[in-house]
Amino acid sequence: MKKKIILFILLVIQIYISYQNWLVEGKIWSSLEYKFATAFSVLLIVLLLLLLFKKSIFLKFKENALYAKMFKEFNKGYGGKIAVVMLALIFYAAFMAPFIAPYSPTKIDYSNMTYSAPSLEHWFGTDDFGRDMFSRVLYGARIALGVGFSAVLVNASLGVSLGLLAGYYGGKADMIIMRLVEIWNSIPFILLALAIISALGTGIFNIIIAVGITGLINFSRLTRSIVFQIKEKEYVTSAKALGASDLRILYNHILPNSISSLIVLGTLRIGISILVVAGLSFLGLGIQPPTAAWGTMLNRGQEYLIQAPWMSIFPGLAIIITVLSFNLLGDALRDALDPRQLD
Amino acid sequence: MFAYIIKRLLWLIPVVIGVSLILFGIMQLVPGNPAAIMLGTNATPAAIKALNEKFGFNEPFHIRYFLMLKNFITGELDSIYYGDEVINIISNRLIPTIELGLLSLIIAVLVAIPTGVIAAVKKNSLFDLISMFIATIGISVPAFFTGIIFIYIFSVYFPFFPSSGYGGRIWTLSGLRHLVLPAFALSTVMIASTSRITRSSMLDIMKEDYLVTARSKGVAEKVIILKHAFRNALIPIITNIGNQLAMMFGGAILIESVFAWPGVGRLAVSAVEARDQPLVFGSILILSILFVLVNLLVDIIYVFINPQISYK
Amino acid sequence: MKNKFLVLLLVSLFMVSVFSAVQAQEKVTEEFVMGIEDEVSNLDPGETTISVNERVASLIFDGLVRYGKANKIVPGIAKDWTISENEMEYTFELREGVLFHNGQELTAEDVEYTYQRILNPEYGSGLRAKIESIKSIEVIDDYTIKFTLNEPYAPFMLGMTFGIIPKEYAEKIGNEELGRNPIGTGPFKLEEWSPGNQIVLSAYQDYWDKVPNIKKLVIRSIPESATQAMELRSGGIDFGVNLDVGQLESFRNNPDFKVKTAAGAGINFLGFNFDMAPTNERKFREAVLQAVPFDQMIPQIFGILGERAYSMLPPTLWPEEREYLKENAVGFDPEAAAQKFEELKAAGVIPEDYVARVYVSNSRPNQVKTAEAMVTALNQAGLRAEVKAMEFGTMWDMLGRGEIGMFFLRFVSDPDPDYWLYRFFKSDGSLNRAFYENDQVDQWLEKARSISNQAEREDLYQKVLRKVLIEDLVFHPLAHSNQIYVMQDEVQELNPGNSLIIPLVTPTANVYKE
Repeated sequence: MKKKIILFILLVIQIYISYQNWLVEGKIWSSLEYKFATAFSVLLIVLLLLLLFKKSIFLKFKENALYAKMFKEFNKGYGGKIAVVMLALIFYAAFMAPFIAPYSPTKIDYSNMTYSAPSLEHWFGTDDFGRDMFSRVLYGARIALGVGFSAVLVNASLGVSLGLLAGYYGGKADMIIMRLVEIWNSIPFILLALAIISALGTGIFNIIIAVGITGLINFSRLTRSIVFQIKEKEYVTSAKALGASDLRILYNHILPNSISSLIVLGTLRIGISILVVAGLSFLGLGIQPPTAAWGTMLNRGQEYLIQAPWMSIFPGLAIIITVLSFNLLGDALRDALDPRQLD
Repeated sequence: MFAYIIKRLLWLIPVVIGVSLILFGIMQLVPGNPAAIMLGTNATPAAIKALNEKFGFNEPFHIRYFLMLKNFITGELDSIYYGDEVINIISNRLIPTIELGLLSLIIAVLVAIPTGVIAAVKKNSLFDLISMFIATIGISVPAFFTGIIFIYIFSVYFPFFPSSGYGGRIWTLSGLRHLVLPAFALSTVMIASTSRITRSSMLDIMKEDYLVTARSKGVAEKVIILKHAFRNALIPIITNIGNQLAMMFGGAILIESVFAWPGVGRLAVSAVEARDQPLVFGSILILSILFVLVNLLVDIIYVFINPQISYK
Repeated sequence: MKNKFLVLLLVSLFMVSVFSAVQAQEKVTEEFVMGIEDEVSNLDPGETTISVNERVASLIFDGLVRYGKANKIVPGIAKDWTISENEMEYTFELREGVLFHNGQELTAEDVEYTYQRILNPEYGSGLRAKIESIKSIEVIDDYTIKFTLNEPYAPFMLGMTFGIIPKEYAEKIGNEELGRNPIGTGPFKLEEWSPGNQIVLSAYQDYWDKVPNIKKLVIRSIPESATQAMELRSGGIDFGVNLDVGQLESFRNNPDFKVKTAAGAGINFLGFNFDMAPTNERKFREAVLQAVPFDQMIPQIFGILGERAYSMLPPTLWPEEREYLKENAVGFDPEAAAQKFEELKAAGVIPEDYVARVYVSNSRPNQVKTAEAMVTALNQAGLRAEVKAMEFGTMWDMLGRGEIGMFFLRFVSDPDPDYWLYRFFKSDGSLNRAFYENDQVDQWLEKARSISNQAEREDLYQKVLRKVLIEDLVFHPLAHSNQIYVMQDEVQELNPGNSLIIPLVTPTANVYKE
């Protein structure tokens, strides 16, 4: 019953927010960010309604033995739960920022470009341009998650392909690929990213590429070792004997078996990517202003560390909490999925 | 063992060639002409041309690559910005970088391993909870932010240590005092991750049968933990330290900038900014070699701890 | 009565002299630590086109002449000079007994060597452009030297500030080594150089002018402005030059520190590319300027670091034209701007998917902030815009190739309008990054550098400024960057004024700590 009440309250809040934005302010579909927010909002409302009134369709999941075991493992520690709640909030902020942010993150009041301390009006204070920090931090979640996920996606797809190739073909191919990856890895990644961004120019897309192609070694090593283990398994040898193509074996047998380890590594890498982007902002090559990005805001806040500490504290906390949540989630998933047992 | 080390050292040759090719390739893509940057807004086209000729930037790609590699190996490679030999410039910066890295590593090991062991032994105690909470936060903070906060707390608010700069070699008092803050700032990530790994691998080992047997035989708990459990737990710990080194090298670059530390990392960053190709080439190459060497060191320690593994 | 007066006068004179002697002794400062923003790479005075190198080298080397009060040229190593009627011959009379740090006396030979070295194209000095007009250098005797020019060149005297190097020593050790072990006649000599960390200088006791009060000068390179602010706070440095607006604010209201400002020689400006659509349309440029409230933004962003500019030339430099330029500058009018953008879009001048990119160097935080605010304003006025903050190197290269439509730049030069306007607005000017071409302006600029009649030159430069800034809107001046010094309260006689030197020992000051 208690659960239902909470779900109901959430539903009411979500409907109220949507009502305010859609009907009162007319923000539905006019720009990309509204589209995202609207779609997310609709999805959330549907999900809440289903949970409230037709819970039975979720039962199927719960009945799945593997899922149940994982769920149990995952729920053992506090870390995983905390992480899930935090990340849910961060994702919510990221998608709903245009609906819930009290002010525009970029608009400047040119007659009053100065910082002010946190107050009821501006919960996190304002920055040196008089912009509301709370709104900026909310919007920053979109950049952090967007860049983090995309960079890891680039990183994983490259790393996994290399690892698959090396592991599957073995021998000379393995040696050459892994040596190349090791050489690539021996260049300090910040410098590599710095050089790549210098070459490509700044911009979100280039940052994703630069962060994505550094540190390939983690994914490729992991994939390679998993492939080595699976390759010797009977079903793979028999599939091979039956004349299945290499690609088919990779796709049908090897990839599904490595997915859980990859998810764990990917989760941990998202946190690292967010930190690397923040580090690049420090070197002046982060996300371009006026886009609200945490690393850029944190770097800007340094200048005002003494008089306006809120300018660095809140974006700093946002980075720490996000990275922390991904790390906790990664740990919890590692325990739950237990990639060490591959059968 | 000796043969193994030789083999690993020989591995440096392909690393040098590979890294230098990568760097050279990227530097070709980087827009910006070192002469134009050096001369800044006061440059005249004639002066830029003269400088470009002086540094041979008008030669084709492969000739310049081999020239640069040859000059780097023979030590004749000249930096554009400094007008000095790259080897000279780097050797001046190498010691501060090594000092910073080594001290951070030592701090990390000295702090992290006891913390992890105690946390594991007293599982779920207050110490365990607090230390692991701090450790989890530790791996989530951007390195440059840690640096600035450290300076503010330990140099401005409580004036214990100098804020920045290099005070001399590590064995002098001034040198050590200058080194403390950057070394601690750099080691936070390593401390955090190592203590977490130490704890979890200690916990894994302590569940093992042979320790239960030893315990039932009445061997003292201290002996069990230190002699049996810890020794076996060390292997994953060292593997983790090896994996963390890349992170640490990356962090060192930011820390060196924050603390105005005259190291190779900061040098490399400013070389990229100045489009000083020979220096970018030299400094990053040196960092890569250093990285490979430190990894080798970790591997050797690995062998000493785990005699079952032998390298041939 | 008369006697009494005389006695009184003598006594007071005596007392004054005793007092000042005592004071002079108190002024001796054992150690003075200053922070600079970059790393010193080379101290060869012929290669110092990098600002920090130039400033540190100015402590070690002396020129024939130097900058005095209000940047007027005053005697240095040359105690006097004469300029011929036709303004093509400059004869300098050197001081006798000026010693290099190695004890050798400076003669006209050294001066000749210094200038010939810079003139030599193979040496590739960035300073060469300033003295290219030299036809010949003639050593008349040990203490007299004559420069003959190809044609009259009004700003020639500024080239006479270059540091003089000892010929014998320089020839012996070579150019490269000179940059690392500089020997000059300046107030300080090099003691120790720990690269990337600090440079230690000591007072030169045989300096021909006043011996510095500072006995040991430590110059530390601290690139992060946040770190430099912390160093000042913790007392690690006595004097810092590289702080951002936010940090400066916290020092200004603090009695432990002094913050001194002086109108600087730098100009921050917005430029447009005349070779690129749509920035080559005057209507577009005007709309951009109307869309952005620069008058409101600049004072709030730059704070004490800058002053709203209307002219390209610093306020200390003639011609006095600010009033006219200010009154006729394009003002803030967002409605008009929005309407113009609409019209331009309708006319197809602004393409459908056009995004106005404002390029700025990421090492200039104030410019990045201005670009940020500007882009916000442009977006509000209906023009899609974004900031491109990048490393100066990348941006400079793209600028040279004409790939950038709108850009922020900062420029510092010597106090003569020729150094500024000729390079920017002459069709083939070395810094004509707007790719602006106008025959009339070219003529004015050529003429102004070849005559030395001040009134005529002023008139010509006035015409140029009005044409390019008001009529054609080539550049839009944003702010004159002020020079800001932050120092511990006990530091005395340290005043900003000339961005090319570190004014520790100048004709008017000799810095010390109380």
